[in-house]
Amino acid sequence: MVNVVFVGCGAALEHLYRAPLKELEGRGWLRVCALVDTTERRRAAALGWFRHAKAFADIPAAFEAVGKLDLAIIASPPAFHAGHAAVAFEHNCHVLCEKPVAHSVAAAQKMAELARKKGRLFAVGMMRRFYPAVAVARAWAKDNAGSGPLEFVYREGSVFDWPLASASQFRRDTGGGGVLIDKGIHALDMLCHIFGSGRLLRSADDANQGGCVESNAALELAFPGSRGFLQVSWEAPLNNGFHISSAADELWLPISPIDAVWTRRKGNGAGWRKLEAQACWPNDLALTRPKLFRPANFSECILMQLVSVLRSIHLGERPIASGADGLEVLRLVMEAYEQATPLEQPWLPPAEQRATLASHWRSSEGVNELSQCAGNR
Amino acid sequence: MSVSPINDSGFRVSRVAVLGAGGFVGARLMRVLRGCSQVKGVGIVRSAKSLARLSSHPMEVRVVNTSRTKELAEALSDCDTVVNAVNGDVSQVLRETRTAYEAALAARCKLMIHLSSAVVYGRANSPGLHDDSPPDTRNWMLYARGKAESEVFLRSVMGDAKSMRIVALRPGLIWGPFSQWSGMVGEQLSRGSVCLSNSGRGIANLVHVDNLVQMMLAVHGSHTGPSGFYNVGDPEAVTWSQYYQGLCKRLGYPETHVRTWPDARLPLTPKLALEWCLQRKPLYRVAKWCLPRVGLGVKAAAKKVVKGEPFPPGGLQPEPKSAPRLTREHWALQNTTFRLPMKKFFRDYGPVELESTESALDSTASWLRFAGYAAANGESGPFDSTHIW
Repeated sequence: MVNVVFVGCGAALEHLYRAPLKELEGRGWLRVCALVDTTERRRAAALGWFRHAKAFADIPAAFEAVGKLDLAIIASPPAFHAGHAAVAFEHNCHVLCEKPVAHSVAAAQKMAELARKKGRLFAVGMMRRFYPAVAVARAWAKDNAGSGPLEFVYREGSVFDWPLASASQFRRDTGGGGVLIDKGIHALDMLCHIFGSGRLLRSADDANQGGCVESNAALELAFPGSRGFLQVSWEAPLNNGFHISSAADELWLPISPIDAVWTRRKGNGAGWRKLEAQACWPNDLALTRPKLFRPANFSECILMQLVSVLRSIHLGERPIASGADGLEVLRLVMEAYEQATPLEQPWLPPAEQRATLASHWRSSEGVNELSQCAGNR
Repeated sequence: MSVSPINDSGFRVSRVAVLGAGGFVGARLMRVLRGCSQVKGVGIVRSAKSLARLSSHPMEVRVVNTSRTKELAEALSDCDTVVNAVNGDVSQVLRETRTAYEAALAARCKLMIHLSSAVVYGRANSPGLHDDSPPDTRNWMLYARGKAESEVFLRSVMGDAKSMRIVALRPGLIWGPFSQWSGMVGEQLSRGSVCLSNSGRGIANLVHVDNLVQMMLAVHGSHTGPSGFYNVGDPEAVTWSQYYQGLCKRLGYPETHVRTWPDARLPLTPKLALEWCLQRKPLYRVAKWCLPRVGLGVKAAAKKVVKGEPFPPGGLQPEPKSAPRLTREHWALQNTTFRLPMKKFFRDYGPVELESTESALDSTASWLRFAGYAAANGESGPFDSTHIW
């Protein structure tokens, strides 16, 4: 039985983790013993969901009162991840940290270093790795790697609709960035998972000076054997989807639903063909012949992620998304922020375009904003 | 009310509170106000998530429970004008309008600009409709009924609020960059799924978002304009076919991509019956209550039925053999018969410099290209990113 402390009882607990954690409590594999949040209202709500749990206003108090806690799930605002993880590691606790792993590369490195020193598991919440469609895309990219360079385009936009408890996400000092570190980090993780280590070629966003964060961002990226661009928006839907092209074939997945994938042959006028995404993941703690399960929605992906973490704790398996994976993606995001140029917005009236270009956060004044918020990167 | 500050040129800076600043219109108004030296925008949103659209620009925004009059009045206390651009729960439109009015009055604001909608006249199927025609409070759409009831309420209090002018604007479909009514066209063109009812001859009662903002600013800037109700729209009348073709051409699709169906039939489907049921307030509320309580599997299945399965771009769907399966709302929009007259607005609020339809189509197409809806072009296809860099 793994004793769990959940840190940050906001929307992530309520809408993502609550049901899977209860499911695993029901299986007798873990027990949520401690809930940590600075807000009394959220602590009270969370206590209603987990009958064995006690609530605390800070993480040291939880360790002091409960004693043996094996796994800390950290879903507090990103600026607090490193501090919360450090306390957990100091108490010999494993850590599953929600994305982004931290709000700066230096903080994430410290987390990884502490985990290594203490010999504890450091996993990161990147549930899209469990999407059956992503597994198909990964296999497809591998199969087509020999047929010449692959091209890709990834677009994901929607009006922001996550029921946030606070506005910290929208300030660079507390959120670390905007749509890129929120939505874009999932996309970048998917790309790294599919293609391997990535390299940033170009980056543009629309954030202004004054601690603002971007609501639109675009990156050009290169991976071993592939190249393409990524575009994310908090303002409106884009032509959403992930499109990969080889010399002879194309693959497209809509991102949602999580198991939809289409392919087509190039050049012969053939239409798109829908594939059945059959990727499965171990759904028990057996070392050999584990029962396999194909997730059908994001809640089941979170469940698979938690099972993966439990298997790592019990069986020593590498988690599907490790802290190192989270760090690599965060490094790309931070590089994108460092190199960000103003996003061209030709649909704006000319005067507004000029004003937008002049007030971009990475212009002379804005450069200081990055260094202030990111600390000693 | 607190004393407004003075700007660099010695003019008094007036303050405009934008209720619903996180919405499409509210956010655009807030951005335009940033460029005005004599007007300062104060955004009012009801939840933290609404800050996302405003997060890229430094703005004064207050998170307030907009359903509580006292709390809202406090947030408005240093503002001269209130723009009610709230676009929330469709079953609460009247209540929200009433709260906004009471709060603005309590805060001693001088002007309330209320965003109503041309939908209060349904399909606008009478040539005699004018700005003061009674709105249709029995419309089949819950949103339309809410807007109509709000108008009736505002008309009833217009005389009472002597210290505050009330100007209700009735835009049609608000289009332009980031608008759902423009994104919809890009989406359908890229999927090859456009099919317009009634040969595309219906009137698209469009107003470009920047034109609407200019009209709101004209009302704010006029100290002598009267209270009243005003139809607002773009300077030129456009049919649905012209609207789609205008964007189709600019995005590089062949003209044949905009397919039409010759008559105005709407095939009856179970989906339409469901849509009709959800426009009854009690059923809507039950559905809204159920939504967060049903499993993700049920939600996914319902989404598939309502919205259809996502389909990759680039394919043209087969030629339609029956009337297009539109939602009743889209069918009604595509079969609008008359354009609402706008003379009253220009009479009372003077000439306003509006963007022409051609120029608005250019800027909208530019955003649609950015969003990835341009036609696949030769070798580069969907991988063309030249419109971004």
